[in-house]
Amino acid sequence: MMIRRFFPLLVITFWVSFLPSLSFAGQGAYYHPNADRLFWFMILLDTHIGADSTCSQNLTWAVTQARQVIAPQFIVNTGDLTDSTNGGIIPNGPFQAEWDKYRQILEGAGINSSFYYDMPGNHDAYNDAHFAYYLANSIQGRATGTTQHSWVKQFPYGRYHFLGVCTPGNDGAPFSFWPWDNYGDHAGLDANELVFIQGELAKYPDAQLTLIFGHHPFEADYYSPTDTGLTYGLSAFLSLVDKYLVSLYGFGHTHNYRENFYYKNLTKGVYYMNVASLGKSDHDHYAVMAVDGNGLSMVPAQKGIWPVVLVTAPVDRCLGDCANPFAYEVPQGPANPIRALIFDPNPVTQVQFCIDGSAAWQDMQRINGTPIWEGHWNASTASPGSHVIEVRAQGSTLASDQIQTSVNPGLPVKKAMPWLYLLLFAD
Amino acid sequence: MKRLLTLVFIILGLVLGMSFAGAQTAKELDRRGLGHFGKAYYEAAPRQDHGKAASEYSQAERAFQEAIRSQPDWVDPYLHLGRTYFVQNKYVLAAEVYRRALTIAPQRKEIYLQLASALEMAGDYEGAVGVLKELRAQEVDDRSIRILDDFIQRLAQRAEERLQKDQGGGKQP
Repeated sequence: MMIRRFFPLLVITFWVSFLPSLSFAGQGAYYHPNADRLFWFMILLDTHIGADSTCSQNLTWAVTQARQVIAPQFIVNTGDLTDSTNGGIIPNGPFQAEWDKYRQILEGAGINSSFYYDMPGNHDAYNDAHFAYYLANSIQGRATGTTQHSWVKQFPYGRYHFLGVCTPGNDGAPFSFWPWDNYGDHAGLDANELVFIQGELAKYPDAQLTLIFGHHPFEADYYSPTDTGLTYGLSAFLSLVDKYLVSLYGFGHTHNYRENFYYKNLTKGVYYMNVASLGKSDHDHYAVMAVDGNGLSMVPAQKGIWPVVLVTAPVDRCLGDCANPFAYEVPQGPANPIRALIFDPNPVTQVQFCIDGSAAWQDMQRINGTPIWEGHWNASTASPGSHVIEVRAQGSTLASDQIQTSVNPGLPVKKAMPWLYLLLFAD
Repeated sequence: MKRLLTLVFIILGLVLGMSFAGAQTAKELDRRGLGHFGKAYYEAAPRQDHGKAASEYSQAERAFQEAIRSQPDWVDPYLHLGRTYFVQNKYVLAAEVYRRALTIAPQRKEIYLQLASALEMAGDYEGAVGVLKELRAQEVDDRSIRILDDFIQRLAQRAEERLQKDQGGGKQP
């Protein structure tokens, strides 16, 4: 009752009292009071269609059930779309049969080029210097006739730019057993590819965030000694990442999940995110990434395991690195919003958060018609500095996600918020 | 004596000339074969134009075979013919050609890989393991040996799985 009566006042109060506390950091993340600047998408990597039936089943699942439950803005697939083995062990394709299967799965799910952004990996490039099979069979290759892709998502609160870059080599080298040959994986970005990347980055100077996806890590030996990386074009590419304030480089290739920050030759660094393989990994098959008030958050997830829980606000100040240079601090306010996305095909009966491992779990409320849940943390007595927020959800199973944030008593919201908190919660 | 020397020079010239002409012909035939292969594998096949692909593959095979006849000690047309067979799923033929290529150029390590790949796709896992073991015996680099061991192990596992499946299948009524 109290909330309804004072609703217009509350809206004004929020904006007047909360906005001054916004803490802009790095590439523009800010602590937004509500959920109207939140979107999310799915990341699939290393689908390796053709390796075995599991790979096909996992992609089918991802673009049907997972897609329906998560309802992402779009799906990114950063390569090794096919395995190039046709069920064997030694990569020696391309095999049209693998591409036929890939197409069949996606077309069967009604996937199109406005929603699904697939780019080539080294397994799609062996023995194919001109990416003939990728161009003739992939979703984006067929739609655009190119190997690199640029797309924009426009919202009332701003424009977001995404780039898919073609990191496999352009020499059509076959797979090899020899480290001195980079196993035939002569990855890199050549002059033409870099010109495209630069042109697209320059097109959207007003983008709130720019996120880039590719198949390879920047450098070799990222996870294991056999992990290949870019062998040419890296320096020029990093210059562009730096110049255009790219917030994320997301890649696959290693079949392992790893969050990191890459700082070398960069002024601020870039969030350097490695996602495991949908086809070949035992866990962390895919990832959900969200943008909330320009703050990035992501969670790896396993095929068929629900719910998927992702805390989107406050932004995790340990995403990739502690402290993530793009993260913001939160005020010592009495009603700091906590937001989470909860995805589950079955009903989610309860979502709660707790602070610093406390036994006092506090309920969160679902925003009608969305997978977004919100709660408010009374941080007015929280000590300055680092705190852990955990959100747990009871759906198909009990699952949780946790993030770290930092309370900064110096943020001005401190004095403006107590009476607002009373209006909201003292009914 | 003078006549004899003249005769020797004429014969030598003829042999060298024929050899050079053979090499030129082989190169031209190989180049032509690659053109047909490219049209089949990179243009027709990915666009599901099976008729054109078959025709181009057939012309590629003929060109590479003629190149081999023209200059049997030149390894490149063998590799191209092997690849042409391989991409048409003619794995046994591909393996045969790669074996011949290995007798000509045993130092070319990539031929072992191609041969092992053809044998694997033909279902001859033991044969593929044997070829990779031959290659391993020549390797001195530890990292290469580890990679080869991994592939050998996985191929041997496939062989074992098939053996068990065959034995299991034999017990079925």
